[in-house]
Amino acid sequence: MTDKKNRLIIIKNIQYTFCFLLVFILYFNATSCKTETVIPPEPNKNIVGTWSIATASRNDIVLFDTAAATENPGHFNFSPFTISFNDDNTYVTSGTAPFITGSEGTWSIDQPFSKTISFVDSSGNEKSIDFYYPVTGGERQLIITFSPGCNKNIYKYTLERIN
Amino acid sequence: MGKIKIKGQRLWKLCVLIVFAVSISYCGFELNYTKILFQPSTANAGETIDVGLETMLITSAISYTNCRIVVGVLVPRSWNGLLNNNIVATYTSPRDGLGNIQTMSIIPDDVTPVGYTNTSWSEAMQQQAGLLGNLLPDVEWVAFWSDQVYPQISAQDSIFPIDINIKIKVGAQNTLVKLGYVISASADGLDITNGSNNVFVTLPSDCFSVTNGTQPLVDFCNPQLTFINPLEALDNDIITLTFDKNISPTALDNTDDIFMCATAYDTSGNVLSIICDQSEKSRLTPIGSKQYKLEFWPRQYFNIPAEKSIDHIDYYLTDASGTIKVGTTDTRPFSIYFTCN
Repeated sequence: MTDKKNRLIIIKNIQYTFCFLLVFILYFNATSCKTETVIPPEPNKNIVGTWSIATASRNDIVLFDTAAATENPGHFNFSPFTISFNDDNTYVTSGTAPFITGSEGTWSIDQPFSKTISFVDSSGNEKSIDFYYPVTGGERQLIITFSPGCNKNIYKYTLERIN
Repeated sequence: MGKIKIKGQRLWKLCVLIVFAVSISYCGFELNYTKILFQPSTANAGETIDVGLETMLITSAISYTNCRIVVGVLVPRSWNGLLNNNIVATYTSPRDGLGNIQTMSIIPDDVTPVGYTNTSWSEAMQQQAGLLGNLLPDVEWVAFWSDQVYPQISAQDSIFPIDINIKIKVGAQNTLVKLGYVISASADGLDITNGSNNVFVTLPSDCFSVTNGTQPLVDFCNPQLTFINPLEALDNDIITLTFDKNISPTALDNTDDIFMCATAYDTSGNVLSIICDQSEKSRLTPIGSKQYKLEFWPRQYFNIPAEKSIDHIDYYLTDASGTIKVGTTDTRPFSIYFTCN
């Protein structure tokens, strides 16, 4: 009788040990997997093209909005304004709205992380403006903020590509 | 020994009761007979004016401890009332001996009056007294308290007359402003927000004029027919000019055809450009509620060459013929100065 009992106990012990070892092995297998976080590379911001003003604000008050132009009678007309960023790093503006730099010169962005566009106009004036480059409704917009006049007044132009 | 008969006994009892009831209804002390004794109505820029105020501190039932007299003065911010002793407040009182001038100091910002939390005395004055009729918000309350701390004001000090003198150095710019004053007291447990105590008295004053100073005239007193946004701008900003017919009647009341007739000057006073042709580019657009707007970019509007800049613009509003002209008066134009501090 005790013999059988002893054998049962031994078998039970073996089963427990076996289970334990199995769990142990499985655990180490699981934790031995190396995980890598993949950071997608920051794309270069390609602003080459001709842009016009979709909305313009001064000190957070909207002065102009192509979508709602009739709701703001007597507004300053920002619609003729264009700025062209060319492939050869030259730029040209139409001069029909306030801007911080002369109407032609060179531009550059410190790709890919920079949030400023640097300008040098034909008189040698160097200025930079902050920008961001979100996708809105499937299209890239170029949003620039700057002070063309008194530094207490902040203007924001939301530009959309026309060419 | 009989009963002493007092004539009209019941009436006397009633009187005593009334007097007693009335006297215990005073919750402490109050300021009474508070007024501006004198204040000039005009001064040259940079001069120091003398202002006299008087009040009487009347006490009864409750005593207060650690009492200071408080005086507030409302001045334009540009006068720098907090600095350089540009405002000096002093007082005399028979309690301290007439002829002994008692000094006052600006109340530190971290002192909060009873009844408020985390609020300075000048902010409390702003909340209780306000702008006193000034139509631009660029004014501030400068708060003073007595250097002397009265340990206890009690029934013994039942009448405590106070004569206050304030010397104010006016600013450098031509200005029309409504000056004003507050007389109050600071004491342990004395809640200035409790109106029934009458321990916060506001003294508004008429429009005061600073002349022979720098242009442009800053007018806090009169409603402005036109206003410019933004308040500070240079000639490369977009300027929004709004004309509000609701402010006061003008010769342009019967027409919707309103034009800006303007002259741009450089810093030497030379004329850079005149646009006064009642053309569509100078037309103000009706925007409803009897208001009209012209939004323009001065450098573009006046065709200013790159090497020049506009110091200021003088303008009138005219009708379509150009013969009806409205300015600050009909012979003095409105002005926009391009400054950025």
